[in-house]
Amino acid sequence: MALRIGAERGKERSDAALLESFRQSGDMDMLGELYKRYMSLVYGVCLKYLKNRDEAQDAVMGVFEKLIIETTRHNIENFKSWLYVLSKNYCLMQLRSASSENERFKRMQAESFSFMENGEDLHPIDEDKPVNEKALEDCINKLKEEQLQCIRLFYYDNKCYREIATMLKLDENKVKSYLQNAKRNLKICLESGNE
Amino acid sequence: MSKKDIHRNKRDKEILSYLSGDMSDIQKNLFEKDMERDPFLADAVEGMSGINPSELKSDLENLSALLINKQHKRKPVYYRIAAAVVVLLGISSILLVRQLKGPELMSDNLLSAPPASKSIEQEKVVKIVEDITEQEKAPERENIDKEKALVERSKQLEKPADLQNKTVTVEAEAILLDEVLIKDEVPLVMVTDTNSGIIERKAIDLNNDIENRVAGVQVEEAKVLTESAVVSERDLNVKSVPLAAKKSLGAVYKEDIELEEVVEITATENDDRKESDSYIKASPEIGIRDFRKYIETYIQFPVEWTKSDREVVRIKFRVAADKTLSNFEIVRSSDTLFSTEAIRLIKEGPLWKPAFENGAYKEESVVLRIVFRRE
Repeated sequence: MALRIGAERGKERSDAALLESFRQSGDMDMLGELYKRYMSLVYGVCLKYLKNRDEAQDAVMGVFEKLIIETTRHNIENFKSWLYVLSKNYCLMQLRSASSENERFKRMQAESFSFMENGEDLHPIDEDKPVNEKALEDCINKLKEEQLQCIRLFYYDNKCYREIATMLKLDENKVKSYLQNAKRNLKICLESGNE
Repeated sequence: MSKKDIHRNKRDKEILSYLSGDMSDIQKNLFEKDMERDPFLADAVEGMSGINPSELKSDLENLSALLINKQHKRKPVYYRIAAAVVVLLGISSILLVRQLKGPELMSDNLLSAPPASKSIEQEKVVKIVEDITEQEKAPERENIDKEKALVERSKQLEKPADLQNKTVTVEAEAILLDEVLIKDEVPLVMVTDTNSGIIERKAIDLNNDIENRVAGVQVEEAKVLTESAVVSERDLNVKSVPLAAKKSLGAVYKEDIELEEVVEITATENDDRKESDSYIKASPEIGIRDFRKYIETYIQFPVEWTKSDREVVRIKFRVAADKTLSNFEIVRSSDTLFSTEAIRLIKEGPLWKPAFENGAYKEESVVLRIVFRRE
């Protein structure tokens, strides 16, 4: 057993393998190794919600502490997506004032886990696999002008947010918003076309 | 170093490079496409964009060291689990004890202290204050020092800009917050007048729609409360605090919360139902705070509208179990200009989380109150 584990340490291990190894052995090195892979993303998310470096760093360590318990209580299919939800909910918990709302928020947190654990489905336009180009083109042409322009410039002309913002005289956040809404509308259009 | 370590370092370097502006436009486009595919990455980059890249690098190195430190605390698993359980129980106990009960009760010293002044100058400005932060940190209402600090703060005024050159008089203890109501589109503040010795509840309208009146004291100007007056409850629910004998309430508004929020979720078809373990109302997926920020950022006052500088729209819609929105219905609006904009904001906005009941998502109606202000 020791030899086999020693041999495996030199190889790249999947998230699932590391997680299972931790669950079986309780070896903190396994969990730490797994967490290190996404710790910078956890920090970024904590910064987004807490808007304070010290608090965000504390939260990163807090999320890690939570992992120790939560990984044994949940059946985690996609660790990265699950960690994303865990981090967000941890930060939101920090933000909520201690009140009767806290109980509600805990329920929302529990619900978020079950609802979002596998993460969102990729939009066809973001996937690498081929889609029905004609159907996609038809749907793109049905978009509102601003959404259409953003989709074309971002995905077809390979322009970055800043370039698009400059060209269309928009705020960068607006560009992201148009892209998000356009993708949602495209998804609805493509799905209705498949029915 | 494993391939995953190399990959992780490469990703961190990419993030730093992107945030530092060191990437070419094509590289940015490729990285942004990764963000479009990966909401975790997108959120993380958004968070990191708020700090200096050199600070970010330093923070990540610090975090790595902290993590190694934690890993090296090799305690047996059952000790760690036991410790975590104890910590969780402790946190749960503390959270159960801590509650937001509304404004701090002030000490009896307030009533016995002489009023700051009984004179009313050209305009009377009163600042109603509620120290939410103080409440959170002072679970014991009998903390006299904090109550005294609250009294002192409640006596301080910030003069609104148009009163800068006028003398104003503080009678903070005369008008104290008792209850905040949202009624018929008009935010009201229920106040208690202790100046006259009479405890009486009156409504003060913050938006000049009704005459302001406090028992025994006639306010000269309708614009009594400044725009700096804000409400304590983010959800703008009715908040009622019992007024014990010989005690008055003071309230300090948090500056970053406005009484008349730009958007307010006023009702759903199950509005009279209380949330519980088995029922949660429909709500914005990003949370109410961020949803408000979204509305505030993207709301557009119709330029063609010249009749007023402020309009309110109430709009009702259904949130389906699959998060789709439908059945938009304008409950109240002065003009289609505002109705159209309100619908646009919601349809183009963040997703909604459907109502959740007895283990399943269900369709539910939501009513939003959106306030348009000309800037």
